Formats: sequence, structure tokens, C-alpha cells
Amino acid sequence: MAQQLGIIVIVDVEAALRAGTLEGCTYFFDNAGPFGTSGMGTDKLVSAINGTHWQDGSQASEHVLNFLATGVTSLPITLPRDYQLHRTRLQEIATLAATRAVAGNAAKSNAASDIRTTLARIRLPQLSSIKLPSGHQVEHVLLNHFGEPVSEGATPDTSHVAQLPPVITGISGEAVEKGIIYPAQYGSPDLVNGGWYWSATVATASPKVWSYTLHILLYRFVQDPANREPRWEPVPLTCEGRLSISSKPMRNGFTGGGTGFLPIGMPH
Amino acid sequence: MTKSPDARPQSGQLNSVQLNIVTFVNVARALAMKSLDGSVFMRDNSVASENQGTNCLQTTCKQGQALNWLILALASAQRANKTWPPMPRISNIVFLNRDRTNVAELLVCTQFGVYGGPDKQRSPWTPVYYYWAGTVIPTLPPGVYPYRFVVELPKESSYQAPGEAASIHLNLDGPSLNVIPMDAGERTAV
Amino acid sequence: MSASLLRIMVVVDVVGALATDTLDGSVWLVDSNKTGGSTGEGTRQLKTAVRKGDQLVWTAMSLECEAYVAIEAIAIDPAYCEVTRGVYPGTDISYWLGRIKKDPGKSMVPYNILFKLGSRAGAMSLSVPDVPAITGGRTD
Repeated sequence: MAQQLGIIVIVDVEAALRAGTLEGCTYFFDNAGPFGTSGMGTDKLVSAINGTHWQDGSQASEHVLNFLATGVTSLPITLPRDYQLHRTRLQEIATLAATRAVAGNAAKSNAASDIRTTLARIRLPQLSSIKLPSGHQVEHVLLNHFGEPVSEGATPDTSHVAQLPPVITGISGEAVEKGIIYPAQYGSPDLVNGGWYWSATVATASPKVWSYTLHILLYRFVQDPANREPRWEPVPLTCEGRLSISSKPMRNGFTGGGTGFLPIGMPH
Repeated sequence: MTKSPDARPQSGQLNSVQLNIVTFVNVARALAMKSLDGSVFMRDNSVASENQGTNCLQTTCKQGQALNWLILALASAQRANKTWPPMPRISNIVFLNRDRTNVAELLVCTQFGVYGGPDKQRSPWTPVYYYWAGTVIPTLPPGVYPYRFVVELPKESSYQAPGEAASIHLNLDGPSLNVIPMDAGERTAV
Repeated sequence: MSASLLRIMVVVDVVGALATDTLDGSVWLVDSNKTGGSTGEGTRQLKTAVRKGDQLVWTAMSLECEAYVAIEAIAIDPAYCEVTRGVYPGTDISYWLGRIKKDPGKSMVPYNILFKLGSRAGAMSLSVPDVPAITGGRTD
């Protein structure tokens, strides 16, 4: 079975956009901390990959890297897929219920002004447009950091709007060119950006420190006083990561012994 | 018959984490018996599931949760002669109606199907995986949803007679999902 | 001098913490205020620079998508920061909201976090003195 390593990249999008670089604004993590990874929480992560090969030098096992990027000011990645649509639907149901309740009071003498006041309080969500690198535009409901839709017409402080998560658009560099890692995008039923994530297998027979380049797309939030609808503009940047492939044998994290199947209890 | 979520300890800790449902198959035995009976063991990483380790696992999961179905052969290590033993594959996962007499009337999972194909073969060694996954529909009414596996088992070439198919397909009825409300944890939280 | 909303992400190696029965070596904090004076980003001793009136939103993140983590409580001096728990509507995912009542000025106000991890019955907190803090002097 291939060993799976998750590499998480947390981007301080605001700082990165201001500085024009991801350097110093990115925090890398992986789950091989106890196995020798260094640089956790910095932009100089060196992931420990314990390689294995047969005595004749041929590949014995491979390692799989799964990449995940998110922003410090983005909503948690554990929120259900399409949360912004789900949230908008809940708000629409509440709006319709409030409208209906108002209609129920139509017979009263002060009805007209009551109705006007209540209707004026109904809020619609603020839409924004995302400009994709391909040139297409996609609509996105603005949410705040509590998962609430931002009201239409409000001009919120940028710090109150949940940041669109950064997107990894590619993996290149020495490790790819030299055939150490084989990256591709894979689908997932549950994910932040359209259901794709980057994953790469590692050919673990070459012990050395190898570098790779992550291509990350950030979205800059732009509020244009003239234009009614705010927009997100794509800003592509890159940053480097490192893999340290060693010829130490892989250890089973639970037993401390060699890798292989865990003993499974037979059904009673 | 399932207990109410409130009766289970820590049922609230199922939130939004991805669930893996892993099925182990004793391929040699299943091929010999031409049946999956007694050759299948299922496990998942959901705290409140029932019948772990059996062939009728009931996975407790939440509305909106992502589920991954993985299937592995009990004997799957590369052999000394560098060949690989036969690996099972899930040919289909079919949700059934309550009494398992026919297919389900309701759609249970969205984005449901085979995953693991890369977006592009950038190299002959770009890995290609094969597993099933889906997301429980967020508005699905809570309850028990039985399903069936259709499993494909390739035969060792030595077992194949001329004219015979290279693999057999077998049914596994028995497993199910126990879908609980998305906010179940909140209601039972201390 | 306006109030801002600052995000604090708490990254947890859930498997590591459960395996070693301690959070030592398995927790890192990052906030959205690096440009405003926070220090210790990506470490356990994050010092978030704040001002009176600021809102802080803490969320927890597990290194693995199959592992569960949630913040059970935040222990911080209520004279400086008042905390309440919230839930993202329609989900079971929680966050913690803090309101800064008093500017810490030059002093550090340390705080601790209590976590629920996996299916472990008992919650776990960070071992003192290796804990994060809030401090004054946030710049725009």
C-alpha cells in the first residue's frame, strides 16, 4: 500500500498580495512531523519521505503526496461543499417566510406602513464575480467569517469578507523534471474548488533532497465604488517546497515495526 | 433496527470529516466458492458505526458527508517473483429500497461514482487509482439506506479455462448507511 | 483607528497528538495579522497584535481530512477578551469568537485552548508555558 502524505499550504493572502510574493506569507505543514519533516509552519518545509527499494535497487514502494491549499482568512475547509449556495438557500427561505408573515397582517389598519417597514428590512445577499484565469466569470455569494451572506449594497471592510481560498494550479520544478514525482489533478466529491486536488506519487528509490515548485492562484478582492458588484481578480504566484527522500525503511507509525497490514480482528 | 443518535456516545464527532469505508476480500476463497459469503470484512472510520469487521457494516454518517469506498485484497503484497496477486474492484454500488427488493427510489449520494483518474497523463507513470466516492445529499431524510456492492474479481490465469471470462462479478448485499442529521452533534453535545 | 476582524487558524496533527497523548509538537497557530504586527506565525507561541474593539475568530484544522478536531474552550483573561462559541449555520462546524475589551498595550496576555480530538473521551490542552498570547500595538 502506498504511504500517503498530506501537504497543507496555508496562505496569508492579504500579506502575499501586498508583498507580491508568497515568500514569508505561506505556512506549510505535513503529517510526517514525527518521521523527520523539518520546517513545519514555515515556507521552508522539507518533507520526510522514507524510501524503500529492493536489494537490487529497484522500486519497492511508492509514496503519495496530497496537496491542499487554503487561506488564513478563508472559511474552514471542513464546511460542506457549496456552502455559499446552501447558505443562500437558507436565507431565501427565511426571506420568503418573513414576506408571507407580513401578508398575514394585511387586514390591520396600520398595515401599509407596517408592510413597508418589514419589506425594507428584507436583505438580499451580495453577489460578487470571480474572474477565472480562462477569462470566464463565475458568480459567488459573499460570505462573512461567520458563514453569513453579506447584505446587498453593504460595502464591508475587506477584513470582514471571507477570502476565496487559493487554488493550486500546477506542480513543476526539479522533482518533476527528474522523474521523482508524478503529479496530476484528481477528483474528489468533497472539496473547495470544483472538486479537484493535486496529488503526486513519489518514486522513492533516489535518496536526496529534491525541490518542487507549487503554482498557486490567489484571488484579490476588489470593491469598485463605480461598479455595483465587487469582483475577485486572479493573481498567480509560485513557491517552493522540498522533499527529503532517505533510504531509511518506512515505519508503521502504530507498531514501530515494518509496513504491512495491521492485524485485523476477525468478526465474532 | 438502529438506535437513535442520542443514545450513541460521541456521535457528534462525525462532522464533515471524510469517511473511508474499507472492504477486505479473501479473493482466493471467493473465487473458489464463487461467492463472497465468509470472504468479506468491512470497516470504516466512523465512531458510531455498527457491525465493524463484518460483511454487513452499517456506516453512521451525516447529511453532506463525503464517503470513500476502498476495496483491498487480503493478500495484496507484491510477490517475490515481482507479480501481483489479483486485486478486487468495485464494479458498482447500488442503493436499494428499505427491504432490499429493488433499487432505491431516492437519490442518496451526489457526485457519486468512480474516482482516481488523473486530469492528464503527464507521464507513463502518472498514477491512476480506482475507487468509489460520493457525498451524502445534504437534504436527504435521515434513516438507514441499504446498498449492494457488485464486485469484480479477476481470476489468476491458471484458473481460466479456454473461452472463460477473465474475471467474475459477485454481489454483496448487506451493508448500509445510517444517515443522521448534519447537526446531530450539536444536539447531543455536552 | 477602526476595529478589524482577525482570523486565527489552529493547525493540529490529530494522529500525532493521539499517538503521543500530548499536544506537544502537534499544534501550530497562524493568524491573518502578520502585516499588522503579530509574531510567532506558524508556531505554538503565536502573539496576535490586537486593538480594543477587534474581533478574533479561532478555527481548528486537522492535518488529515479523515481526522476530527474541534475547539472545546478557550481560556483567556476575560478583562481583555470575551469569548463565545458559534456554529456555521446549517452545519456542525464550530468557531470561537473573541471580542477585545481592553488593549493589552505592551503586555502579553497568554491563553490556552482545549481541544476535542478524534474519538478520545477527554479533551486536551496545551502545556504551559508554551502557549499563544494576545498583545497590543496592532498597526493598520
